[in-house]
Amino acid sequence: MNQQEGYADDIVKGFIIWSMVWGLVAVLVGVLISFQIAFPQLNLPPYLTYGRLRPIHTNAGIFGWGIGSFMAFFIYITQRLTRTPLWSPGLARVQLWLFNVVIALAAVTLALGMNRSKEYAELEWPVAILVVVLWVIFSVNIVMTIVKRREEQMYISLWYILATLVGVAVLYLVNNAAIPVSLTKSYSAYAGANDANVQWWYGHNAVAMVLTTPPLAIFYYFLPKTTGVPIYSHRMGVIAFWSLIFMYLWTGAHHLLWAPVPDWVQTLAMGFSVMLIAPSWAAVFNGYFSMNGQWHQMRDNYLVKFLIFGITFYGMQTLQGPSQAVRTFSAFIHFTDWVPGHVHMGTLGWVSLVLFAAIYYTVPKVYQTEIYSIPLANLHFWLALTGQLIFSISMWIAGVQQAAMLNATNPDGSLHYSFMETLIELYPYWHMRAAGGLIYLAGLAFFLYNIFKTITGGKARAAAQRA
Amino acid sequence: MDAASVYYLGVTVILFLVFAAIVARVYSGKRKAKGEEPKYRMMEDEKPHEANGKGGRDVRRK
Amino acid sequence: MTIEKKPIIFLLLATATILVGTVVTMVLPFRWINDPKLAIASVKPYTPLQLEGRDIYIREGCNNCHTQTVRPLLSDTERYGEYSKSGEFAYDQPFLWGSRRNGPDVARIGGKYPDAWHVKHMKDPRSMVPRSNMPAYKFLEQPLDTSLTERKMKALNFPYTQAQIAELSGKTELDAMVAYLQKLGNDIPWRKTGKAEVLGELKNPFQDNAAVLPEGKKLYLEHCAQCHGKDLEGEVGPSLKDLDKPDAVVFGIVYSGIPAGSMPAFGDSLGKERTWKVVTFLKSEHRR
Ligand code: HEC
Ligand code: HEC
Ligand code: HEM
Repeated sequence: MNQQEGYADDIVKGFIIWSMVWGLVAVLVGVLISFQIAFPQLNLPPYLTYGRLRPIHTNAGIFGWGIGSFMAFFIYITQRLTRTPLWSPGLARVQLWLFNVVIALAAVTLALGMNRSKEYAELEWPVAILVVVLWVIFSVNIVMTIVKRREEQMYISLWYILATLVGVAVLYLVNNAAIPVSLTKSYSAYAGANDANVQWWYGHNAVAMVLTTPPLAIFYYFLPKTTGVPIYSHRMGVIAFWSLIFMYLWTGAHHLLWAPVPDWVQTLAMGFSVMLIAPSWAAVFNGYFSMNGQWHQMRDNYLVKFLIFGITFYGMQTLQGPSQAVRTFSAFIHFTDWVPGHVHMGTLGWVSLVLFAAIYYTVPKVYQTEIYSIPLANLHFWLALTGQLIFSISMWIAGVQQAAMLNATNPDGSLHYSFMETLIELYPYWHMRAAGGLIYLAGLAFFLYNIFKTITGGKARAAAQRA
Repeated sequence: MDAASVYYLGVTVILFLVFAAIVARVYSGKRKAKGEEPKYRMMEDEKPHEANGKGGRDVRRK
Repeated sequence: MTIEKKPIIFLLLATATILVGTVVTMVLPFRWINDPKLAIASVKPYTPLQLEGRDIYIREGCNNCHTQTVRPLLSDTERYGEYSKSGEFAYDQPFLWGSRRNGPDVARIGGKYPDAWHVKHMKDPRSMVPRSNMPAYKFLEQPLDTSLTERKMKALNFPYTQAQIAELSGKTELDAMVAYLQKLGNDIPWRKTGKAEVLGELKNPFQDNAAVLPEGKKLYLEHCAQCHGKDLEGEVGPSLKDLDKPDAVVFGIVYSGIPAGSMPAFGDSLGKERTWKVVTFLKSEHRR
């Protein structure tokens, strides 16, 4: 058990594998609910209805796949950037167990209908407390490793890692404040418009501290590693870092435009959302400029393709997001399918493409082997890209079309379409989205198979060497 | 201008000054080498640094 | 000092950085939101039955498809009614505004339909609205679990009487859900102010114009058949077969509804012209 002499990589393996398992669950449930929307007969009450499955999908995706792999890569990256073995591998093993217990509990309790109803903070209080314990264990281990580091300066990835650790802690504690009634039921500690404002302060900063800063930490580490050339500008990364973590926290109310929360809170959210373009695009440019003279690697190096497309989707996401945060445009697309289109460009495009690259890079390293098949990885790339684009584009069109129909009026000022008349027109897009989801799922299957073969191949080779 | 606009303007100016100060500090000539150093050092991190003179050996090869 | 080298100082600084926006946009608003000045006296807490219904709404995740906030925008107010005020949500822990309108907003669903409509719709939405993609909730006919009701009312500081608790016995989850839905949005008297007014002279522009009958029939099947039956035979609402009221009166009923009798108003969604077409269709059936 004495891993003091090298990096603790066994635990990295564990987190990678389990995050892939939960990622598969998230996508499977996602495909199922996309079919339920198009074919409501597929709802199997009580446990398998859309209303109960959607939170399972988002929790498995954000917490299982997202946080799970962030834990893997934070541990992997931190050790290397500090040139120091993990502070406590034993604690990390406890963390892996607890992580799986929490995600499994989340899936089961949500299916049973134990749900606080606040988006991305659905878990009832006993499970939420376990999440807090999990996060504390994780944070202590990472922070202690950094404190004990043998490398003087901290590379930008470590900055994002540290910000994630405190950011998530603050957000989660505040938004999960609850009045328990029993072990399985509690009420939010805040009421009405206050609750809404706290929730979306949390909700949007879950986007910041879970779907932005961790993938950025991973991107900043793996892009130079895969291309072999350093990042374009470390100092630009530093400026962008402080601006980003400062500005994000002001923007929550862009989810509440036109809702009964004070106007000035909405206006601030709108202004800071637009300003966020700058630090977001600083990261995009940092990625692009690092590719100067290296663009041929987009063809030669499959990992670069994942990473550069990932950061490109991040760039598009951070242009589309601010436009949605403008009152007039929000009035139009808020509550429509446009928003799931936005969400999935971020999660399937940006976050997942970067994670795929990191996994393809790391697994052969920690298992001391080669990737099983590069052509298969390329196939995975194209399927993921196609599936995601079909999904997002069909939802954007659906959203705009429904918005236009909902706003259409007759000459006498009455509305031209009833709600149902607008909904009926959405079915073809919902079929398209389900097809996009299936394509993405097929890509994921090739990915899992490729990683599985890489791991078993690596094990076989190690055994042969020992013999 | 009403009080709210003055307030918005004031906060904006202050924030901009803070931002300018950070940029000036980070991009000051004498910090250039140090500011960019981590990006070169991170390229080589295959093994932990030796601690207390003990040899570092990668667990992956145990 | 270089913070790049001092992780603990760095952590503190990063925390301070994220707290600025947090304090301004999340902590400070507590002073303004739910301010006593914005309170609406007529907004009442939930009764035990309504609260149980609300908890089932949360359990089933209805908020994943339904929003509960009407924005001050024409397309919202014309469709759903008076825009939402923050005072209306003072007792909502948690809030249920939602983020996606897969189905219509239900902030003001209370009183829009009779109870019987909800029961039928919840059990089998497609029997009422053929192309609906709402799941069927027939299983809500199971008995309501009331073991926690008093603890819940106490936790939220809502007033209740023992009689109200006693009344819960024998109720189903569906009863609780309908009670909750019927309360929504009704604490302020918005229907009177928001009601579609019939202006101008009431003369049927399509009188005896057989060309509009197919469209009138189509509109009828889409909007009315769920309550009045496919062949006007009546179901949730009365039979319309022997409708001998004058065109203008029928128009008034359909356009403005009969709030007391739970006949919805269709002026907002159909407009005048299409309302007249439905009326023409109804009257033509009568004459036959
Ligand atoms: C998959 C999305 C979905 C879910 C989940 C869902 N609904 Fe619906 N709901 C709809 C759609 C679409 C309509 C419009 C068509 C119709 O009336 O069936 C609707 C209509 C309604 C209406 C009538 C609204 C009106 O103004 O005519 C009510 C009331 C309602 N739903 C209540 C509920 C309740 C209560 C739940 C949870 C138990 C629920 N819904 C869950 C999609 C959903
Ligand atoms: C939610 C169910 C519901 C729907 C949908 C509905 N109605 Fe009604 N309707 C009722 C009820 C209930 C009454 C009885 C009200 C009363 O008399 O108090 C009624 C009454 C009427 C009456 C008066 C009948 C009489 O004998 O006085 C007319 C006319 C009418 N509806 C026409 C329509 C038309 C046309 C539509 C479609 C555009 C429609 N209704 C849709 C429930 C509904
Ligand atoms: C500058 C950056 C961004 C801004 C200003 C922004 C803005 C917004 C806005 C205004 C909405 C609400 C849309 C509506 O409901 O009308 C939204 C939703 C969302 N965004 Fe972004 N976005 C940004 C970047 C991202 C990124 C990088 C991701 C990563 C995945 C992301 C993920 C999401 C998610 C998951 C939601 C859905 C929230 C929900 O309603 O449940 N966003 N964004």
